[in-house]
Amino acid sequence: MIRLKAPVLENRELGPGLYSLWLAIEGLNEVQPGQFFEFRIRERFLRRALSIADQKGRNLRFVLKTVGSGTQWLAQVRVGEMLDLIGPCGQGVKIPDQGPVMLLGGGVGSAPLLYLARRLSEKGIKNDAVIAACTRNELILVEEFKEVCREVIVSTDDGSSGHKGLLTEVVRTLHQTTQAKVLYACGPEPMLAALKNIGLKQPVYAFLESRMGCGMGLCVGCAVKGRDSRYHRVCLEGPVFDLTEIEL
Amino acid sequence: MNVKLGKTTFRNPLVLASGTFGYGLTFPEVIEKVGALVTKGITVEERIGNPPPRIWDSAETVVNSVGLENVGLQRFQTEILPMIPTSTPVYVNLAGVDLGDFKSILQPLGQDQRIAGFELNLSCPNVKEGGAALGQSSRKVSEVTALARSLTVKPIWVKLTSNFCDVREISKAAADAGADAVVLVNTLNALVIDVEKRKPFLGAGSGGLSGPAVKPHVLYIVREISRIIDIPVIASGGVVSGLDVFEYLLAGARLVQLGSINLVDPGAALRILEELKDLFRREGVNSPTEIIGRLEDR
Ligand SMILES: Cc1cc2nc3c(=O)[nH]c(=O)nc-3n(C[C@H](O)[C@H](O)[C@H](O)COP(=O)(O)OP(=O)(O)OC[C@H]3O[C@@H](n4cnc5c(N)ncnc54)[C@H](O)[C@@H]3O)c2cc1C
Ligand SMILES: Cc1cc2nc3c(=O)[nH]c(=O)nc-3n(C[C@H](O)[C@H](O)[C@H](O)COP(=O)(O)O)c2cc1C
Ligand code: FES
Repeated sequence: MIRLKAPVLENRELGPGLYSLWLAIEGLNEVQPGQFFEFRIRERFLRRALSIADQKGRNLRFVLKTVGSGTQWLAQVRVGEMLDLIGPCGQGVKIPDQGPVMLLGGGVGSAPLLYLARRLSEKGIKNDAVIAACTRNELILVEEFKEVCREVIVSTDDGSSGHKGLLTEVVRTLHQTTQAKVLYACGPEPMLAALKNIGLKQPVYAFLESRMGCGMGLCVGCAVKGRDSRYHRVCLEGPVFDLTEIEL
Repeated sequence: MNVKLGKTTFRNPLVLASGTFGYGLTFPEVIEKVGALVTKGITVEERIGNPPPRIWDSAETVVNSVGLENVGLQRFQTEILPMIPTSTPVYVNLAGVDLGDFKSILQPLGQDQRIAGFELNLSCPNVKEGGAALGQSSRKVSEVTALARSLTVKPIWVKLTSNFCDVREISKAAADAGADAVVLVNTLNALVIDVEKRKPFLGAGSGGLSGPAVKPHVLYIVREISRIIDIPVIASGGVVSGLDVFEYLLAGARLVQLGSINLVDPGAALRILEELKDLFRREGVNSPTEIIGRLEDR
């Protein structure tokens, strides 16, 4: 984990409040899907976490949704601007040896799964993705997923594109779900909580968020409650956890 | 950059503050360059800490309600102490509910060679019992400090609060009971509101305020207290630059702690040290001792 300055190569709007940033990372160490970087922002004291959404050589992609002043500031950065980041933070996903793998992305949560899908496909592991959002124009990265997944299933809560309904309801009906050896999910907390209750037999790993102080294990600000009633640090032990191990 | 505090010499006045550098097990390249490091607060029993969310920020503040989550005395002894850095003096921050707790911790740790000294945390706003409740009473501060004094010959720093109390009386009580220094001050009581839910935002209901916004308040306290007590004052509040450290030294602090800034940049101490050296060069200052408490009157 190092602190670095990275120029913005591209900042593109993907949908309402959704932005894609490509940054050039000088001296980039090995990065893993699930890992994140901590971005220094203006207007807030602490850094903000964004997950790696994709990689091309030493360039990394991040996808963000504006929810407050930190992400709003990041959404307006210009090409050429230098960002101050620390990373890669957190534990990466251990790429499974066997597929098929199923990826479940809700909203901006699809972003880190794209990088996982790319690494899976590079290793020749079959993976299917369900990309979900509330409505059509909030669906992100569908074309990119199609490049690296065996099948991409789209669903929207309002039915404006693909299957109609909540991601968990759609997942329950798919034959890909029964075939999958392991599932990875990233999305809003209610989605992850619902996923816990639909009785999937296979291991499900969830990419978690939490409000973070440092992202580096220094402050214990990022607690998430475990099944054992202890708190775990999202930034250090996570951000990817076995869904059965955490309380949501 | 040396500073003396009693019989101890520190390589420079910068101290990594409790709760913002874990137990000192990471970033050795930073730790070896500072004057000292204070560990996360240790309690007799392990504490799981407060429910999330535990942290909130604005441009110039951090509000945290971690709630002294720590591994507890036993695991501290078996898992942490053997790994504790030797490149820098390590002060162990101790918290407890009553005298018995401090005794239980100081009896086994009081003479441990790996520990440079102790910081008694009588000021944590994030726990229901102990913490600031002890630090708000001169009598209790005096009792805990005297007890600690009887259990260790190592330096004892007493970390105090300015919440709902008279820091002047309490600092005097700590000094009279044998403290080697007072640390001013722990985080200020703070409330963040979630308007939509009409509830406090932080899981614990309230938290402790730190960061640049608290500096003018803490500078004031440091100046007032350093004028009325005979033991050294260590400042803690809002330092983000070498200039901030210079100001605290002028106001009367002998050592200056860095807290929240470590969360933003774990290497901040190195930058701040360079800035302080530059400032000394520009101001023609040869050593911190030359400026400690040299703030003039208007
Ligand atoms: C490991 C990790 C990876 C992440 N990856 C991504 C990613 O790839 N893309 C992405 O878009 N996001 C990601 N996030 C989330 C992202 O870090 C946050 O959205 C971001 O930190 C928000 O910062 P902000 O300043 O924009 O919002 P803030 O102002 O900090 O607000 C954040 C949230 O807290 C709420 N909040 C703040 N204050 C209050 C209050 N007083 N009352 C009620 N609610 C309040 C806000 O409504 C908002 O929902 C990730 C988070 C983690 C931990
Ligand atoms: C996340 C966090 C955790 C903290 N934990 C402790 C603690 O365990 N014990 C303690 O005495 N102070 C604790 N503090 C207070 C700091 O040590 C410091 O006194 C305070 O933050 C003010 O300094 P700053 O403005 O430089 O952060 C904590 C502060 C923060 C931000
Ligand atoms: S955010 Fe500081 S320990 Fe995880």
